[in-house]
Formats: sequence, structure tokens, C-alpha cells
Amino acid sequence: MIKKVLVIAFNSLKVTFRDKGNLIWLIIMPIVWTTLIGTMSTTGGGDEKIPVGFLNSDRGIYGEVFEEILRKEESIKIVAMAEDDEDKMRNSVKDTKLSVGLIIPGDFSEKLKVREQVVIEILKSQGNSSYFLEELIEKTAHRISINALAANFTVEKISERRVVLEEEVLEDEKERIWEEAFVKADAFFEPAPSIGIEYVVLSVEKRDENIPIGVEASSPGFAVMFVMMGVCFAGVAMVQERHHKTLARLLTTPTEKFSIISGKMLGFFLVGFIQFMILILFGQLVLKVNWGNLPLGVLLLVVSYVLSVTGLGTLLSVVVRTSAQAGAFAVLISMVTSMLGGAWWPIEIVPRFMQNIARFTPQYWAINGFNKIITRGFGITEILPNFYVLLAISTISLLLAIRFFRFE
Amino acid sequence: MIKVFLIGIKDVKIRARDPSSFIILLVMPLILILVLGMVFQPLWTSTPFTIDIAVLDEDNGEFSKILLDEVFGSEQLKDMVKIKYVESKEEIINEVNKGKIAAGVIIGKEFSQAIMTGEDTRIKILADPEQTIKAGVIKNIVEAFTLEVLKRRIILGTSMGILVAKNLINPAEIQQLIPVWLSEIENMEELIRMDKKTEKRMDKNPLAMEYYAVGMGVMYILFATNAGAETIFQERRNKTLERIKVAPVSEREILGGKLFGIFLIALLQFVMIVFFTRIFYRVNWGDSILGIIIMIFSSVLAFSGLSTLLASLTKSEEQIGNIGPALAMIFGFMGGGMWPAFAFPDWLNMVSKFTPNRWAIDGFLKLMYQEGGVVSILPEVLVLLGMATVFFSLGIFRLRMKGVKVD
Amino acid sequence: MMNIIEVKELTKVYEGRKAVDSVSFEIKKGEAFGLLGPNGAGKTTTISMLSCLIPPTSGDAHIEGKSIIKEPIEVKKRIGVVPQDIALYPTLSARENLFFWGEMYGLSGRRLKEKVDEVLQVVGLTERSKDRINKYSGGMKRRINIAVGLLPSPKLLILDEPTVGVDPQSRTNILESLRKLNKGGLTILYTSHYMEEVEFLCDRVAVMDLGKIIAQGTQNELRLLAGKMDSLKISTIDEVQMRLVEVIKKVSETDEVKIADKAIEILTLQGRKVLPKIIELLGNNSIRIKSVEVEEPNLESLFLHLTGKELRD
Repeated sequence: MIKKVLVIAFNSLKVTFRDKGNLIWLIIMPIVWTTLIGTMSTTGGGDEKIPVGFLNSDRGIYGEVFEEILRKEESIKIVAMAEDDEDKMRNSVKDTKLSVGLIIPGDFSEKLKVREQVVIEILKSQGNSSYFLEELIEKTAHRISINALAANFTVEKISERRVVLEEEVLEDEKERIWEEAFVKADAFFEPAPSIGIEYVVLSVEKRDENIPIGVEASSPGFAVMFVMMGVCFAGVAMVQERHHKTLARLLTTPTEKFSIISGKMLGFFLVGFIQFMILILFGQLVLKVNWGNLPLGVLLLVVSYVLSVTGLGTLLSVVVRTSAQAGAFAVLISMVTSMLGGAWWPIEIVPRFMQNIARFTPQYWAINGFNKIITRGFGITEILPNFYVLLAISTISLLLAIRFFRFE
Repeated sequence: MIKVFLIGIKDVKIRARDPSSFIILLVMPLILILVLGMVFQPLWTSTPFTIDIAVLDEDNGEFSKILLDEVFGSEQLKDMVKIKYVESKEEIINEVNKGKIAAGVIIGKEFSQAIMTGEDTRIKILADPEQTIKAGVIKNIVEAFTLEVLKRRIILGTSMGILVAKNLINPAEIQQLIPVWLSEIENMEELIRMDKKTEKRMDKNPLAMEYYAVGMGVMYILFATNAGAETIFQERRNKTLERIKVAPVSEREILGGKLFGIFLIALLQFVMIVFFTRIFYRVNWGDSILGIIIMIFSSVLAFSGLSTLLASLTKSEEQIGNIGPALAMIFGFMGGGMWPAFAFPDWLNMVSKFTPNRWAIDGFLKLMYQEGGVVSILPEVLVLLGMATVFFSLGIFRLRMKGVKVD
Repeated sequence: MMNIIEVKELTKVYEGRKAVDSVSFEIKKGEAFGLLGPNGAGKTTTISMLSCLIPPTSGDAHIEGKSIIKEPIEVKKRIGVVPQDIALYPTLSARENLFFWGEMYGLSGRRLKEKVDEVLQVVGLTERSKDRINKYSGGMKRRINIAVGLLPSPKLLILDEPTVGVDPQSRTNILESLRKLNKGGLTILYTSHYMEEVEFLCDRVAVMDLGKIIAQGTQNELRLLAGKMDSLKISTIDEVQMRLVEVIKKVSETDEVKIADKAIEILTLQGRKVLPKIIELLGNNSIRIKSVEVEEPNLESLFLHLTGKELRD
């Protein structure tokens, strides 16, 4: 009996992989897709520096100081613009050639020195998320503002004191003191602000800078989505098999019904499992995605996840009548549940009620489990809940699939 | 010529009777638009979301109170940041690991003390790796607070230092001067104000639902035209092509009819999507009816051409059935159907301009969000028609080379 | 001789309609048994019950004493089934298909390989066995479809309209092979709505209509049922003497002999057997023959006789 189950499973594996179209959807498409989306969302996280336009019309030196401080930031690249290039910069920002543009007015230094408010312009483009850059520029502006305040305050206090001592303060001495105070104030920011924060992401280890964050995040997510699609497509193959009557013919052979059903399901499972392994290997070897240091945990999740989608795939193949319908549903269901389950974007960004919906998808539990291993560095114990939930989904869907299994 | 129309209309009828094509071509894009719209709407309109954090206040001093009561407790933040007070660092790590909180904030014992005595001090923030966006917001809030405290220290420290060095104040006076000077510093206003200007490409910010109605709608034109192109192969399989060939119809008419069918199916499908999204999702496709019609026609033409070319390059129904949807998804993505193209990196932004999707989406967005009217979409329409011409010529050339084969 | 299969009052009710109504028959070892009837007569339903695909509503059937209800697996071990549809994996080669189905019948190792080679030989497709099924012509697909049914060396081979949609040449080919197998000792249950096929292949026939067996027996017995006998019409050049009537009656084992000066009309049960004897008799009496016309009642006419309608509507 076991032997027949294996033969049936192996046979449907053969039928699935012999179909060139299946190969496109099982292997090629996920690889192309993951690479494409991964590289896209890499910006800002990888080697590429974000271009920031910098137009300095300041007649004094503090515009340059601003630029110098900004230049120390590793993630950005300053593109200096000539004073009469304002329109050019505006257009570059509009076309997103520059992520943001910065305009320092001519009276920047002058106003700082007389403690008057000065306005700098930040140009950003519509839809381009420049939140991170704005923070950076704001911080730098804040720093210069504090330094200037300190310098002004110092000069003021010296003047006050001298008045008390009945000494006169010369203008160029004021200037010198102002500049000295500015430098002294700025020293408080180096090497790090003396009152500040320590920000630690509780991930398993420091990231290797060469690994594109985008691919790392998208590889498990899309693997999960395409495996569901793959298993559903194997379900499509069974609809075809019903159509070809080979499924009914199996019943005329001395083979137990249960062996046939389990053989078919094992076949689906193997399709998904093999596909998942190929995608993990591709991710690890080619895209250099870190799949964590817990192969056993990954395996548990892969097995339980593939089992759960096997049940769903079989159910799908039982419910629909034609293979065209099955194909349509396969794509629809796997895409929508993957979006809901957090395969497309981090689940934290979606509204609370959608986070709750996500918990009903197997994708959520798989991705959540992978994150526990990959980013949090957890052990087996912590991923067991995910494993159990996936097993529960598997049990329910497999039982339903067996209950409603149709041979004709 | 009338036969061309008859063949085309017959193809539409066959399609309309197939329930699975109904799912693929109409229900599916509508569901995707709904999901994408619901997910991204709050993000695009920057509706505040709630952030759960845990705070360990070992300091319990003057400055930690300011942070917790006046910053996190401020009108602006108190509804957004939900604080849970905990007793130990372990508890924070535990909560973060469970994904219950986005970040944990640890204010050390000596925090207020260190500020007073001028020592270095840090507030520690532990972030959940799965919620780095929310944790980042907390980071910025706390950092702004520390900078504010630092401001006092810097101004006071700099001025005192210089004045003492110049012997303008007596060290004995310092203790007495500090509170006086601090109160002066307290009221100092920022010297640099930032004026943020958005270089607009559109007059309004797109709503996510509307953006995806365009993006998905355009992506599904290709699904529809591919489905149409498949009928060329289906007809060969069902031997009905043979039958048409036996009838007094020229090869040119057959081909023309099939291509017209492709165009017609996609046109109907897209018009229905426009119609449904207008009614059910309240998507405003713009005021210029003429513009919309021109865009619909030119986009559908471009995609019909693409599918014709695809049909000429594939060998069987299965092949086009597999490559078609894959191509539609990749083009859909590259053309900005799933992620706005203006947020792409440069290279992808360039590549995306080779897809009809990009031009179609840009054109529709112009109609929706710019005041330019019909004239403004001229470049997009020209590019789409150009693509249509190239695709059709190549496709028809190849199809005729192969002949509308009967075997 | 022992019965391979005994069917007793097999009934299948679908939504209140009796698709198969108290069908009973038995097939002896080595026999070729035909189940003849128009489309929708209940043939396929009967076959499906016999191959344990669907459970009967009532009644039972035993194959070598094993009940289809109680011991379906034992039954399945003893039968080979050739379904109406080409139930094969189109993207696998003929050999791959045969190996798979062989394993499903519990064969393995060398025996499986030998058996696969053997059935390929029988259907004459050894040379093309490495080709994928979807590259085959309709007739070749049918032959592989039958080959699968032969794999388990069945005690009983059940074929459900195995020649549907096949060109005449392939059909002859298939029928010839089946006859050869039958002569070699294989018991066959064959359904068809082609009367010629059943007449060609089967010893005994059951005629089905509207779920019931309306007639059953050897081909001769059925002809008798039709109430018609073979009619031999012989016209002669020379005159036939009346005195020959009695002799002819005796030779052709019938009383129905009419003689009019240059013609003889005989109604007999065994026209083919009688004809040579009559010709010999006439020759002995120096009567030259101008023409001979033989009219045999067939299953077609039987069906028409029993139901008042044609086999193929």
C-alpha cells in the first residue's frame, strides 16, 4: 500500500514537472519576480547613495558648514548645484533624479549671526518617500541652529559682562568670539551627541552590508506565495486528470481509495516542497538571502506550510469543474491571501483589522515563523506555535479535501 | 470587411459565456484593487497609526517625566503612542520578541542626574526587527527630545566655558547663574525654519484605491488580450478555423477578424472595470470623457498588438497560456501597476518606459489628477499608438509568415 | 464449465430513475460476452458497477466467487478494465503509462517489465512505446488503452466501447487482436452499440435497453427470438422438380420450403450451414444455379423486433 502511494505521488510529480508551463510558474516566474522586486526595494538600503541636491547661495560660510555636516552622512550623496540652477534642480526633483533638493538662502549666515530666523527650502517630489532624508536634514539644521544660538548667547553674555566692566566690545572681536563659540558648541555633537539615544534593532545579528535588504525581505514572502500557487497549479493538474478519466481508472485497479487520495496529496506536497527547496537554495546561493541558522526550524515551517497549502490546493481542485477555472482561482487565491498574509509588504504597515484578517492565512504563520528564525534568531521552541497553527490548518483543510474528494 | 466584424463579435460571445474568463478578467482585478486600495490608503494619506511601546523608567527623574508626560503625553502623540510600563529589560525583550510592541524605551537610572551634572547619557531603544517603520517613528520622537535637552547643555556649556576662560565670570558665580541663564535659553526659538515644498507632478495626491484601479485595470488589459490571442490556437484545435477557411473568407479577413476579436474583448473588459470602479469604488477617472475614451482605445490597441506579437511568437495554446499571464504580471509590476513607478530606482524607471503599462498609467493619472485635459495626454497617446503599430506590424508579419495554419 | 462472473439482479437507481434494472447474467470461462444496446441503455453503468467504480443500489455480482460489494479489491485484482475514455497520461510515454498502471495492479520488478513488453507486443506498438501518448493517433491511443487492461493478466477483461471514434482499419485491427486473445483463453465482457462488433467477437450476447436486459443468449438463440429464420432464395436456370421438396426439407432441417418452377425459397435456422448442402443437392440433380440470395436476421433486426426502434438513434 505504501508503495502504491509512493508510485502515485511520484507519477503526479512527473506529470507536473514534465509540463513546461508548470516550470515557468513553479520556478522561473518566482525567481524573476523575487529578483525584480528585491532589487527595486533595495534603494536606500544597499550600496547606492541617495542623491540630494544642494544649492548654496549663502554669502557667509555657514552654508558650507551645513553642507559639510551633511556630507558626513554615509547614505546620501550631495549634488552641489550652481546658484542659477534653481529651475534645473526643481526639475530634477520633480523627475526624481534627485530625492530632495535643498536651497540655502543668501542671507543664511548673516541672519544666524544676528539671531534672526532664516528659512531654508526643501524640495521634494510627489509620491517619493523622502521621510528619512527630511529627518536627516532637519537634524542637521537643528544642530546648526543650536550652535548659532550658543554663539549668539555667548556674544550677548560677553557684551553684558563687559558693559558691567565698562569695557567696549569691538565688532570684529564679536565676530571672532561668535565663530569660536560656534565651533565649541558643535564639538558637543562629535563624535556623538553627549545626550542622545542608542538604537538597537533586536535582530539576530548585524546585517552584512552587502546583502540587499529588499531581496532579503521579499525572498521568503514570495517563495511562500509562489509555493501556494505551485501547489494550486498541481491541483489544476488533478482537475485535468479527472477530465482525462485517469483518476476514475485508478479506481478500477486493485488500489485502495485512501491510497489514491494520499498518493495524490503526497504528489502535491512534493511539488510544493521541491519548489520551496529550489527557491530557498536560489535565494541563499544566488541572491545571498540569509535564511537563518536554524535549518531544522525552516524545514518544520516549510513542511507544515506546504502541507496546509496542499489541503487548500486539493480542496480547490475538488471544488472547481474545469481547469481554466482552477487556474484562475489558483492565481487569485494565492495572490490575495499572500497580500493579506504579509508576503508582499511588512504586515506592520497595514491597519489593525487587516492584521487580524492576516491571521487566517497560512502565509502569515509561515512568514512570521521565518522572521522568527531569520531576523530574531529564535530557536525551535519559539516557532512551535507557528508550526502547530499550520498543522491545524493542514489538518482541517486535508480532512475537508478528503471528505469532498471527487474522482469524476 | 463585414466578415472581420462577424468573426470578432463571435469571439466576444464565446468569451462571455465562459465563467472562468469572467473570474480572471473582471472579478480578480476588482478584488485586487480593493485589497491594494485598503492596504495603501491609510499609508498614502498618512493617517496616524497606533504604535505600541513599552517603557522602562528606572530614572523616574525630572527629565524622564518630561519625556513621558509632556512628549509622549502631548495632545499630538497621546492617541498615537500607547505606552505599557514594565519593570525590567527582560520584559521589554520578551514583548518585542512576541511582536507585541514596536519598540521598548529604556531610561536609565542616572538619566536626569547625568543631564544635571553634564555627563554623557543615552536613552536606549530596542526595536522589533519586524516593525522597524514604527520603531523608527519612536526613535525620531525620542531623538528630538534628547536634542532639545542637549540644546540647553550646549548653549550653557559653550557660553559658560568661554566666559570663564575669558575671566568674565567668577567660577563661584556659576551655580547662581545657571538657573537664570537656563530660563533665558528655555525661550529661545529655533533659528532655522524649513519650508518644505512638494514639486508637484499632479495637482492632487492620488488615492490608493484610484491609483490601483488604474494600475490593475491596465495590467488586466494584457490578461484580456492574451486570452483573446489564445482563441487563435483554440480555434485551430477545435477545427473551427479549418471550417472558417473552407468558407469563402480570405486569410486576411480571418486574421483581421481574430485581431478585432482580441481588441474587442479587452475593450469591453476594460470599460467594465472603469465602469465598476467608478460605481462601487467611487474612482474618479477624470472629467474629460473624450480623454478617457482616447486613453482607453490607445491602451487597448497597444496591448492587443502586444498579444498579437506574443501569439505569433508562441507555438501552442498552453505556451501562450503560461507565458501570457507571467508577462502580464511582470509588465504590470514594471509599468507601475503595483508600486508607483515614480518611486522606482533609476534603472527600473528607465526600463518601465518600455512597457505600454507605464504610458497607459501615466496617461490616466494625468486625466485624473491634472488640469491639462485632453492635450496633456498627447505624448502618452502617441507612444501607445506607436507601440501598437510596431507590435501589430511585427505580429501580423510573423503570423502571416506562419500562415493561419490548419492542421 | 465454470462461471467467471455471475451477475444477480444488479440495480442502480439515480435520482429515482432506474439506470440499471435487475440485470442478471453470467459469463463462462473463455467466453466472449457482448453487452449490446443503444447509448444510454445502462451498459456503462453496469460495467462501472462490475468494476467496483460505483456501488449498486441492490443486487450483487460475483467474480470468481468474490462479491463486488464485499470484496471490491479482490474483484479488482481479477479484472482488467478498459474504459470508454482514453484514460492515460497524455504527457507520459506509452511505456511510462504502462509501468505506472502495472504498478497500480500490483506488478513490480522483472514481472512488470515482461508484462509491459508482452502487452505492447499484443497491441503491436512495441516500436513506438517511447513516444508520448499525446503524439499518438486516435487508434494507437485506443490500443494502449486496451493494453493497460491486459496488464494484470486478468481473469476477465471488461471493455466499454473500446472502439469509439476509431477509423475502420484500426477497429478491425483491435477486434482481431481481441478475438485472438479470446481464442487464447481470455474471458471478455464487451459492450458496444455496434452490432457488427458484437456479432464478430461474441459467443453470447445480452441486449440492453432502458436499463433492462431484454434478451440474452447465443447469437443463434437470439435470432430465433427474433422469430425470423435465414431465408435462402435460389433461382435456377433449369426447372426444379417438385419431388425435391422433401429432400430439401430434410437437408435443411425445416419444413419451410417452397418451390416454384425456377426458384426455391427456404427458411431455415442455419442458412450458412445448409446452403452448401443444397447446392450440392441441386448439382447432383443437374439443376444449374443462376443466383443465390441469403438473408440472415441480425441483432439489429432483433433489436428492432424487441423494442420497435433502431439500435442507433
